[in-house]
Amino acid sequence: MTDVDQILRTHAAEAARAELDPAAWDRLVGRLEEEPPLVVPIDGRPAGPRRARRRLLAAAIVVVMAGIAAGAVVASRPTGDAEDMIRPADTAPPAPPTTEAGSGRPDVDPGTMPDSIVAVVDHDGDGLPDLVRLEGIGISEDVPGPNGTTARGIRPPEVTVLVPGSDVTPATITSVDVAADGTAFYAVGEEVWTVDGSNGLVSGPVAQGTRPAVSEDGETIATVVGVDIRVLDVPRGESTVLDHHKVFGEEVTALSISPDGGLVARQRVTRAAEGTVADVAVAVTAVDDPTGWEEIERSSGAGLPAFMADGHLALGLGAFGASEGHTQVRASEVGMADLATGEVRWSVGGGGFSFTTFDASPDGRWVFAAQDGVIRAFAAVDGWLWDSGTVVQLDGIDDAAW
Amino acid sequence: VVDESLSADGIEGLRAAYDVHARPLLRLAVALTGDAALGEDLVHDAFVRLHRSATPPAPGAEGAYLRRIVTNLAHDHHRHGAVVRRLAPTPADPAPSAELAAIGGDRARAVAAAVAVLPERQRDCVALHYFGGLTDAAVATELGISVGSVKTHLHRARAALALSLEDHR
Repeated sequence: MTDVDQILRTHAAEAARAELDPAAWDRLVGRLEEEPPLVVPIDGRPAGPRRARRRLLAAAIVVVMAGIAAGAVVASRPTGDAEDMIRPADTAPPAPPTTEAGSGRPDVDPGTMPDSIVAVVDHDGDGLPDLVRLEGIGISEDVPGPNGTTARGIRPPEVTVLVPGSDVTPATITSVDVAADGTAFYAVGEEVWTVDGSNGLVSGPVAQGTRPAVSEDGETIATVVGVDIRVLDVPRGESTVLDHHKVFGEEVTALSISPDGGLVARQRVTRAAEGTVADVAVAVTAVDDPTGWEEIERSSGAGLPAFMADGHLALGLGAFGASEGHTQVRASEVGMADLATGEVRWSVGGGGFSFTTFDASPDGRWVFAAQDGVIRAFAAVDGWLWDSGTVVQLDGIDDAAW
Repeated sequence: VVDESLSADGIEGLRAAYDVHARPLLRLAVALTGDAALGEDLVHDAFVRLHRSATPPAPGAEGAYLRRIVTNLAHDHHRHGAVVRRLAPTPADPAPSAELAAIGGDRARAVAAAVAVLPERQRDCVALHYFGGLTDAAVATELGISVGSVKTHLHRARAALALSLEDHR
């Protein structure tokens, strides 16, 4: 460590030998005379970096929205029994969501999209998943290519390592959820720990189990403990076991908890003897009603639930188990279930995109889907999800949460 | 848009800030990039942004403002450099520049690159403490975090750099 301290001091001392060229000031003045302003306020308000970023994001979303201006696409189901559908795919699309007058695109303020995502990803390439915060998501920029060419691309996010994977070995960080105050709840082995994103303070374990799902206030944590689903009331220290009709060969592969901590949704996967996915379904129950599971729209395979703040449940739909030798559960479409009516509306994920991770923003305005190095955002408008395009490109994402 | 940035008052104010901050900023930029010419470019970028800012920093806060811009620009340079290196053909014999050689050659480049890939907070703490010459308390004030957090970030940064700079010790 002392060696490093000395290396840094030597490096600084060598850099301190750099002196300004006497003509440097003249070059600066020359630049000021020749170059246009970097950022021009266009609406009377200061154009700081954050606002400039939002303008870039807004422009990107306008482009995407223009491409899907015909409204949310109603997907046909790749498989399934039409009689089980609440709305068959071959019926006329229902009324489109609220749109800006004359534009055909939903009235979505891109500035409401959270600036950061917490993800489980092997950031340093040591083979151990790290817990990281990705900031500056959804910013497009010109990326230099060979021979002086440029292409429009997604700017790499700012990555802050919250918990290095090497800090928790031999255990592994497997999944994460985030409370409204930014505290990340992450599973390490069979325990759940927390890290305060603002100061890096780690605490735990705060609960037993895996696949944590945390309420908005961080005071209710649902986890998978063995074959059980447990809900921990943190202030009271009381735990409730939810009876989810366990069947041999099935496992709970995803959990979500409503913002108020009163409802839990689980993805249940049943596997055949060789490990391939035989069935996937999502069911919801109230924590106060541990046996009251009600299944959601399962004929095409529904999974990856994410509670929204407005009483909807966002879902991944379609094409489950279609990859990794049919052992990995993936969804290829997104949808929204209205928990009050049971209606499910779904939209095409776009471009053959399939995903294994799904989460909603704390305010319920956005959901994202992640897989294979891409995080894609969807705007939630009146019970519909609108594809807003790729917001992050980063290889090796195992899990993520807003 | 009328650009009033080159008014006499504006230039005089900028010159005053330049006289005070340009040299320490250059040293910070050179330490962060390992390249004196690039360092000057980044420093000038920072002053251009200061001069054209719609919300200039409060009097007395110019130094922190400029250090933040230089640090971010250096980070952007490394990230864009990584993209360019990934996409562009590799030169047959990449020779270090005279500036690099003047401040330590490969080691300077290695130190700058290793610092550049540190997590943001650790990178900021290293840049301000080692290259900006700020005390832990001054770093804490500038970043709006506690002195204890600064010490923690510096400790973690040194641990990470100990691994990445193993060949240069």
